[in-house]
Amino acid sequence: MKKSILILLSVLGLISCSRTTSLDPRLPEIWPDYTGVTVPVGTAPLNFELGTQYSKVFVRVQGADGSILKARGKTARFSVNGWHKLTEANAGDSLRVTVLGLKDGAWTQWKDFPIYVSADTLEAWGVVYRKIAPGYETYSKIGNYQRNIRNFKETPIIESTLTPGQCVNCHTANATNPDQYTFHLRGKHGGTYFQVNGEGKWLTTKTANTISNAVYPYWHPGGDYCACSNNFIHQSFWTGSGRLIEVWDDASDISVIDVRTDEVITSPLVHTDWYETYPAFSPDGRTLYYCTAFPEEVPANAEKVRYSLCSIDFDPETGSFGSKVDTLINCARKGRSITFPRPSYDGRFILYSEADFGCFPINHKEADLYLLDLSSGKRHALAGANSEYAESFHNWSADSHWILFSSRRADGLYSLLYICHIDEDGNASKPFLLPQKNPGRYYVNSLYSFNCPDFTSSKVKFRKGSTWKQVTDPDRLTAKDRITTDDEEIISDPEPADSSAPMFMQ
Amino acid sequence: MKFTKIALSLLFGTGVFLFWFLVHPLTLGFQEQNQLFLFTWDYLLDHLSRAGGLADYIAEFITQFNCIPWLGAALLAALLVALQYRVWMAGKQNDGWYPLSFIPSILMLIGMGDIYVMPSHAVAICMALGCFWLYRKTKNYGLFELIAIPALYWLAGPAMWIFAVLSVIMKIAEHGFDGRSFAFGLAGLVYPALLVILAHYTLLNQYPMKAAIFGIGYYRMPLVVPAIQLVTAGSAVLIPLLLEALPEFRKPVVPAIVLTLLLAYPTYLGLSRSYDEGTQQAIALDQLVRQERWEDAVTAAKKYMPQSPECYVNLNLALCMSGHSVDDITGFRQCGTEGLIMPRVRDFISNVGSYEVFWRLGMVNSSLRYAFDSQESEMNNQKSGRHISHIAECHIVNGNWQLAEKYLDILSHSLFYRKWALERKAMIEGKAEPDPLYLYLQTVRFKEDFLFHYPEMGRTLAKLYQENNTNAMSAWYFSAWMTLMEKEAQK
Repeated sequence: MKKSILILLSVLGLISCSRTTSLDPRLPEIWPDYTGVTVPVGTAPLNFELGTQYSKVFVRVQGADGSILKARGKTARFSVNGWHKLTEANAGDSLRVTVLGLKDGAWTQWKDFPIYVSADTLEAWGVVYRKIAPGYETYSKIGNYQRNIRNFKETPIIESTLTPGQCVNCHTANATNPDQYTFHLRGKHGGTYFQVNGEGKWLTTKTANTISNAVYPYWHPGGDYCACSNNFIHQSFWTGSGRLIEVWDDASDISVIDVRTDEVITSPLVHTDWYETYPAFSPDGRTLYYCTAFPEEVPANAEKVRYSLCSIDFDPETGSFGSKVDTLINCARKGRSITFPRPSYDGRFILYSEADFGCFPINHKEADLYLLDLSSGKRHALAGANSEYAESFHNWSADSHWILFSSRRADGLYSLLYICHIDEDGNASKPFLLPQKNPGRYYVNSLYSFNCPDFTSSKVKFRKGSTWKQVTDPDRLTAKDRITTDDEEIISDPEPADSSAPMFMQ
Repeated sequence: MKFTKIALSLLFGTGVFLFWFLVHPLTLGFQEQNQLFLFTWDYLLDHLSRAGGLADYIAEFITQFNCIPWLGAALLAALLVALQYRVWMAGKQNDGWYPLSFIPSILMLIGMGDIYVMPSHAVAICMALGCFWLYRKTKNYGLFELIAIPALYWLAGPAMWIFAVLSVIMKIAEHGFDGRSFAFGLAGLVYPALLVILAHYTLLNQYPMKAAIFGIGYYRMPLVVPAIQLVTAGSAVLIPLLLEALPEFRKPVVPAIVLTLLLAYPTYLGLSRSYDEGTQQAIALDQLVRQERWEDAVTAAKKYMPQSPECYVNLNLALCMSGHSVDDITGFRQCGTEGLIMPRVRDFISNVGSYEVFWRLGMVNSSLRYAFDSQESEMNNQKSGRHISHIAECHIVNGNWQLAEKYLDILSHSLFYRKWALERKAMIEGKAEPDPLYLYLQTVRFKEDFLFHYPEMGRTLAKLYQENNTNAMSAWYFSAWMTLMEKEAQK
């Protein structure tokens, strides 16, 4: 009997010894691709998976300080606290990741890869974003969500189930501070929700002087104003196999809402026959950046519509626009189109999308992120952050060291959220996909795009209890036009003398 | 009497089966195409995250079998017989009144004439009555209620009230109407009401109060509560009480048969009025196109002259695909060029036929758009097996294989789309021959990329033919478009 057991143990020993680990000199094909990314201290761990052909994965992450974190199982899932400790101990240095995968009873070890831990902290509680099917003109369930960046907890702020038949638009906080935020509802009971220091109100923002309700908002840093565009948005659909959708404006203007008085402020300079859209205030609140384009005939000449980056002064004391427009980048000459200008909160850069044409870069495969250095006037593509697919819907962290954006690089259609470090010279690191506990299950089975993301300095508070009642209230507040001498000009002279070349575009 | 009861239930079940299998088999397929039941934990957990989710889950599990009409009809019949049996078991089993227990099931069947009524409500009532049956067997009423009411509300939805009301009335009936019974009765109603309010402000805070009170998944359209839903739920309370209260018969067989006969005529009337002919015809044509039964679609249209543009889209496609000449379209009343290809409409029914037309014409992107929007128009936020399959096909033809795989992977978790999805996946991976239709569509599509503009559909069809003169269907549709334009101009 003893002899039999010894023989059996010997055979088992031989079998186990024959399980050698083969070395593969390439980097492992992990998803999400976290090889060589730069992360801040204290975010959720970068869990990942190998292909389904691997039944087990073993991962060892070693910090430059010698500390080690391991994960094993079907996917690489790290302890949240362990990851926080590891990144804290290695801030400003790197982690070395060793990956082994088991396939058909044999282990493979790939080339180790680094994860860089930035010395710049990410000053944010979490991120907010909208989840929506990347469809055409109809939506079923959509919603605004918030996610704690330190762990994996995602909670809805508002979902369309709360307001059936209405489309929930992007959540916009004031420089990441959710004490002050706004979002729109579209549909029969459409309106804009403003929340300031816990007090919320639903406002109908269409007035006699504006062509539509508020569309793309941006808070004034002082908190008394919210700039927005007013757009007639249309969509059309490509017939070829490469492109799917084109979104354009039939008309668009810019206005500023005084949230204290519910007054809408306009100026003839941002209320022309040209398209004006995507307003954004400078961090000092004295300049309003926006994009403008000559109104080509659309859809016939949709591919000729190119937006330039302009600015106009704004006086927060009087709530009035300046008397001239400056062109920062003239795209009519460069043959490109600029949209979504987002000034960094330290006032150094403007981050924007650049595409071949049009105003909706997320549908443009060629759309990339660019950075304009306001001190030198030089612009450059964020090579580290861009991909062969569309990048757009970007925003800065409060400390201006990190950006958050949507990219379609995962499959060409579904936009996912990426976070990227921007160094002192305005260069981007390799971005990392917003981590999930089980990224395969979360992203691969999801039929949602993630768009309009922003960092948030604390948890967004939204009272949902009586939302449906407030939204459908027929006596809801309506914004009114602020009466200024300029109003007569707008009404009496809707068309500039030479609409093909307004003065400020020279 | 035992034999009579079994015979009556079998008779009812057979009637329901034949009603679905012979009279409305295509409606079964329509209900199935507006959902996609997945065997995944996420799908189950998503359902369990809302009140009534388990009832919805069970109903969707049953509905997936509708793509085999005899099986779908049999399962629906079984569900309604189960409901009848639960009603019977909830009351005192007073044999002579046995046919009364069919009333909630009959009302449910009549209600299903409204295509927005979901079988989830029938499942939920069964769960509530099943809970009441257990309650009658227990000794500790208070503890049972304390646990069962929140559990039932979460799993079955507001059908929980059927259990709550029945248990209160039964307690009062057993103990008499004294102060103690009154207090217990009041507590038995206030407790669930408070739970519903609490749920609305916590776990269901992404739904309006009305949804928390009347249910999320019982009706396809949110915040709409049809009268038949309330009447059916009310009957599920009233009938067990009546069975308790009505006198017993010495010879129950005769009254049972008489009652059955008395119920037959109102049932017939209810069914004939609730199943709207226009809706059923639209559904039938849609399903015949889905199954590519072109001649059957033409025959059905000849029998009942179509009225709506969506019906004509399907009919004209059937005429084209079955080899009829363009002149044959004038043999029907027609309703303008919209009856060939509809402009986009924001609902989950109207554009389905048009995406089938676009697909066969080779206008793959337009087909993809209409399919995507049809799916996103599902009012109860469901995905659709038919639409997702079509979206995957469009991405295969467009060469977006990574995207196609995403949809095929999702479909592979279903029972009835799995085989199809794995076959397509094998095509993408080069392990199987590509579908000849996909290859054909890649050759007959537009060579030039331009923006689609519905008002210029006539010119678009002409351009499609000019670019690909092997695309005979585009010539047929262009000719039909001009014919109907002229007909409209002559009016």
